[in-house]
Amino acid sequence: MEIGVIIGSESHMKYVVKVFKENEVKEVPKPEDCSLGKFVKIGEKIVGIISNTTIIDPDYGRRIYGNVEELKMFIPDYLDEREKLLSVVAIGTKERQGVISSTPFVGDTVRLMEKNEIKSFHEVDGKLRISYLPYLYEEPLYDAIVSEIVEELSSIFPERKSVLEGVRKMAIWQRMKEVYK
Amino acid sequence: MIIGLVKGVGETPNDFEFVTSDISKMSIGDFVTLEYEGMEIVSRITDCRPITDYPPIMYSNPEISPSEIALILGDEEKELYLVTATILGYYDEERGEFINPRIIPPQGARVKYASEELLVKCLNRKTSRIGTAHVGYMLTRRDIEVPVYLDVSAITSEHLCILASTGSGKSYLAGVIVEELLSPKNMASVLIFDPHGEYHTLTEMMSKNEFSSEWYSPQVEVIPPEKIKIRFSELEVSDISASLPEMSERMEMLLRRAYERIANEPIITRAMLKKAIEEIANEKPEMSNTASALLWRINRSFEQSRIFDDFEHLSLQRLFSPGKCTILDLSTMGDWEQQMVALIVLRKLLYARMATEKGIAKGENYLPYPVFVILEEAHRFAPRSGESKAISIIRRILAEGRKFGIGMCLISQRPSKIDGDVLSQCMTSVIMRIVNPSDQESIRTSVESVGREVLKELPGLTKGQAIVSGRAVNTTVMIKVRERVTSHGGESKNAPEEWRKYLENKRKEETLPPIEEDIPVLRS
Ligand SMILES: Nc1ncnc2c1ncn2[C@@H]1O[C@H](COP(=O)(O)OP(=O)(O)OP(=O)(O)O)[C@@H](O)[C@H]1O
Ligand SMILES: [Mg+2]
Repeated sequence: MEIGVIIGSESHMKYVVKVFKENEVKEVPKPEDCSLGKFVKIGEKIVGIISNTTIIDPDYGRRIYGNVEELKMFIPDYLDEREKLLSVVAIGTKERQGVISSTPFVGDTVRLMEKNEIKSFHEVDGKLRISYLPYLYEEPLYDAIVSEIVEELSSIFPERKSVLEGVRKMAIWQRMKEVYK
Repeated sequence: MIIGLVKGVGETPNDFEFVTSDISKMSIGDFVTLEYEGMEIVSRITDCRPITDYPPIMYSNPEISPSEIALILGDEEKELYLVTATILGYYDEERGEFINPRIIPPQGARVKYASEELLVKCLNRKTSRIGTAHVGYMLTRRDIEVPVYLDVSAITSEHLCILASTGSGKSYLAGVIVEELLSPKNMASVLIFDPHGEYHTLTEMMSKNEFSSEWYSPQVEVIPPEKIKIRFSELEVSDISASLPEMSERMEMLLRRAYERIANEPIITRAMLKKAIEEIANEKPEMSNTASALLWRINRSFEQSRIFDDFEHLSLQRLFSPGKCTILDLSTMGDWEQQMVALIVLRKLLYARMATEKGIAKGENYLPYPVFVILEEAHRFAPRSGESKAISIIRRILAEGRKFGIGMCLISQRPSKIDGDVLSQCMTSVIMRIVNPSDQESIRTSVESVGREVLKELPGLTKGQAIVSGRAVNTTVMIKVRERVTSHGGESKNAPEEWRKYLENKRKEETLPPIEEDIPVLRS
């Protein structure tokens, strides 16, 4: 399912995605489709992970109050200008995990990955691998993102659940250690 | 097989550190080699610790190892270990020793696991059959056995000590050594002082093929306590005096005078000595009180103990002969009697060997071959503090025995209770499990050949494991003692089993039903 398009980047690894709204696509992404830790595909090849969400309201300060249905009817552009933006960290290409070599373009579509795509992305030589956590470590929500990843992968690799649990614990512990330092 | 790379120097110039991921081979006390300018330098592993520092949280689930988690996270490195090794040197086959080239191994040099062939060659001073005692195998090599041999000429001239806590396998090992000494490759002359009567099973050697060759088979004689006799005239006047309790100066003088009168007789009996004392008392009535006090003491010490005899004695030729092991069973004797037997036998032995070497020996004193003496419970015969009749002769044999071909093996469970001089003369030591800190300390101070790193291992050894060091091997090595061919006479007792057997037999006699088994079952 398509959820948005690239509108810019903060770095080689981190991209800004504008989430599709009504009228832009047939099937509008629901809030839970754009949640933290979801695996996405940017364009054809690049794999990313949602690491943060922001919303913007360009009319902040000159707010018009009223019933949403009425506003829609009388000032259709107003609501359109309110945006939901996602931060997506690129964590590899569909062939391999790691730093990407060619970057996405502005306008590239971003879509949620299917379970089987997530599975094959995480299987290296037939074994479960998550070698991209270092790229996420700087994210303020690192531990929550890892928790989501663990949740998702545990449903795909149920037999590795306890090792994945170890990964989650470690991420939480790493964060805790910083907090209490 | 290359197992790691040198990281740098260690604490001392002889130490270096290397990094490896193959923990399975990194046993402390084992050996590695590295190539340096064409030399194969042998080093001993002294320490090994992990350097991969996983966060403690990764150990929180006992079912999942940290490396499993690390692997998922893409860390394909195996856990790494930093190993410290001490350089022994390259092995000079001609000289039969390690030569330390005083080098600092370059960083990145390849470290290999020492091959079994190399170890057999360089640990053992001799690998030929003749003149060696195969005591066991290297403890740390389980797949391919590396036999460890003691150099028999080193232990029989520069002595041996076997030290360990009770039940660690000292007597068992002594049995192994005797088996080796009496086999056709050595045909030694061995005497055992056996205070617990546990060596009699060595007589099995006489009937086992392993110990005989075409023309040789060993003799083993057990001399039971009641047959162990000291001839009264074998005692010197100072022995007699030292054996009498609370002697006054007058008594001492009287004893010496009386002894002088009979000193030239070919054989001195107790009756003769007493008669001489009485004669002096008759001549000088003022001595009569002293005389009766002295006679009372002589009766008490020398008539009541059954080890003294006016004529019978153990001849050196019976005790010592190549191809023969003689076992003096001292098991029912008191401390004083045991010490007197040791004193007389060892003194006669030393004098005979000295006289024979000088070419002036006559009759029983002629003993034209070296001998080996095993002293069990050595702390009783040569204590650090407290009295022993035998201590000075033992000191003397340990200091001078080498020149006259007398080797001793001292066995003790309390190294801290043995005389330090005596212990420091044992140039080969076999140390087994020792937990007591004061015993460990006394080993550190008196047993020269034992290195610091070895002491750390002592509490961790189990029954039958030993650390051999000193002259009889080329370098300190940990061994597993080989199995005895003969049975061991000092088996540990299984008390609960024996109590039960006793009562069961008794019930059988009384025709009562057997005792019911009531073994608790763990409920799940
Ligand atoms: N190498 C070995 N292999 C198998 N069993 C052994 C070995 N060494 C010792 N044992 C067993 O361990 C027990 C104790 O051994 P041993 O009698 O030699 O102890 P010890 O050190 O002489 O003790 P103590 O100081 O009390 O005389 C015996 O039952 C013996 O059979
Ligand atoms: Mg013993």
